[in-house]
Amino acid sequence: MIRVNIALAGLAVCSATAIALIGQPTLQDKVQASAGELDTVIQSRSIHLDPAEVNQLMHDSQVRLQLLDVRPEAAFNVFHLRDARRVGLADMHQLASHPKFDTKALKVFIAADEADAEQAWRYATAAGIPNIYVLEGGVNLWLTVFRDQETQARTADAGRALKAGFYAALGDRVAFAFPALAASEGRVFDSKAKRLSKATKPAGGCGG
Amino acid sequence: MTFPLQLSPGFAVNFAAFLIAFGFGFVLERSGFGDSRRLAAQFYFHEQRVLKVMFTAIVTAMLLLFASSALGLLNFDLVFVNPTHLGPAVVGGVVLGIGFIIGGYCPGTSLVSAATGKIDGMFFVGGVTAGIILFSESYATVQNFFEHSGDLGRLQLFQVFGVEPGVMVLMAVTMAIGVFWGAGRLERAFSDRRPKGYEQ
Amino acid sequence: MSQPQVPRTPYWNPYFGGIALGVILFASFIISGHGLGASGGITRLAAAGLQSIAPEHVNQSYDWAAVAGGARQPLDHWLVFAIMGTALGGLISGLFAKRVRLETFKGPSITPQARWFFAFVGGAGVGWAARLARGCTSGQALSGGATLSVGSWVFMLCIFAGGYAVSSLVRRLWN
Repeated sequence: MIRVNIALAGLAVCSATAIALIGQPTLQDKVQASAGELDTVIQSRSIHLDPAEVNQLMHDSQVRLQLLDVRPEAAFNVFHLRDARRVGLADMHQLASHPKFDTKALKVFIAADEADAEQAWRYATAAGIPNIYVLEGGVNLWLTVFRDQETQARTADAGRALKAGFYAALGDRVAFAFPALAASEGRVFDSKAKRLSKATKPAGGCGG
Repeated sequence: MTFPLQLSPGFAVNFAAFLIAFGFGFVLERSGFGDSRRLAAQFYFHEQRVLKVMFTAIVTAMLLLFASSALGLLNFDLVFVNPTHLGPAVVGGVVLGIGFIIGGYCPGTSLVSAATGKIDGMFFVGGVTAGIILFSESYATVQNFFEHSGDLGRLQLFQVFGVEPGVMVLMAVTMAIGVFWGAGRLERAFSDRRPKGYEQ
Repeated sequence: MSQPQVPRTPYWNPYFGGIALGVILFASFIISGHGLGASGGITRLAAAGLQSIAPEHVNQSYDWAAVAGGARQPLDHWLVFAIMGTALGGLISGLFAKRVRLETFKGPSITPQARWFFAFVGGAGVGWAARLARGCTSGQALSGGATLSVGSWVFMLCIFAGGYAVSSLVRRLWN
């Protein structure tokens, strides 16, 4: 009996040592491991929310919304959506384990166009954060629709850091940072946000 | 990363929970945890069954979890880690320990005990129900403490110790082995306290 | 009621039982993403019971409403199926081991009735504490322990501390 116990103890120590040596996967590793699935979802466009839909969500008091802007600080200071928070791509992982992080909120990543927001979406999804979307067309399309009032525009200046037309850092102190609901009236779009979606992150345990 | 399986809520989730819990209850009964005398004996040193089973289970699951994560089979970010609420953990733990030594069970073991016909187990389950109802009815008195005291969210031991997860696992394994060695010594040292006819 | 006999089928070696339990716990995590639970299931049963006899009270109670208010179905949750499975698993194991018997486990110095009283009182303390700690030994100590949750480890240590602190006072119940 003692010999079995010692053997088991030895096995446990060896396993733990192996685990320590192999190490846990980084967020980068996880993104690479799920690259196929992540790309499929992005290509299906099911996580890209139209600016009009985001505007609606901003006005909906029943929805807990978090707007997460991944652009550099300078661009963010020139213009950002009302109540948007700036989050660096590198901070995705900390975001998930932060005690105040709202897993139940509907989160929208915002970039100048879409590329950076999609990358942030990949990181956040691999990290297990639920309820995340991307602003379709990014800030540039938002400005085209709400600032320049081209209500039916579908694409905007892709690849540009920020659409032209700003002569000062306005932040969100402009009307088109939080447009009236009427501003997107007449714009046709597919509603994709699942308002009451069950979180993919399990809330187990007796207290949850 | 194939695990954890993302089962859609409904029949699959509930059935899986039922099957796993069936195994849980089965093993508990097999290990003698449907017997309050053996559970209470932990606190009189001559029977260290509770400590051995609990720590072995924790270490086994821990090794399997962190190994499958290290090998890229399990996405640990999708695994539920009980959020840390320090105040309730301390007060709840102490009170549960006191209730345990007075009542002789914890909720899971009392279900097993009651299911095998033990009347003390049945009374314990009744007591647990009463205690749960008491908590809800007096929620306002503990609300602030319950919701906010020591609310640190998802926090794991290796973050507090500032080490890699694998190193923490190794530390936990080493500690557990030490505890088991000590438990064996205690059982032999206090064997004279064992009631007559009590087989280990 | 006389003191029950020593069971004929010996119990498993605790290390073996612990490994079995650990494998089951791991299976739970990889299938569902979470561990085990017990007190939460009993909470939901209690909530469902209250919902049927006093629905207005449930709707107005801050704590009950979260689980059973309005159109919520407290029984539609894995924790409820978990406690059914736990009880059934215990019963089946007991049947095979010939350990199912209507009897009372107690120390030699007290009456069965006294034991029943203390079982209820101890259970009430455990039930209250499990709600406060958001789990019991299965949901917090075992499951949270395996995932290295700080709160769960603190909880587990405090359980042992509380039990050892009081054990000499209640010696008569068990010895």
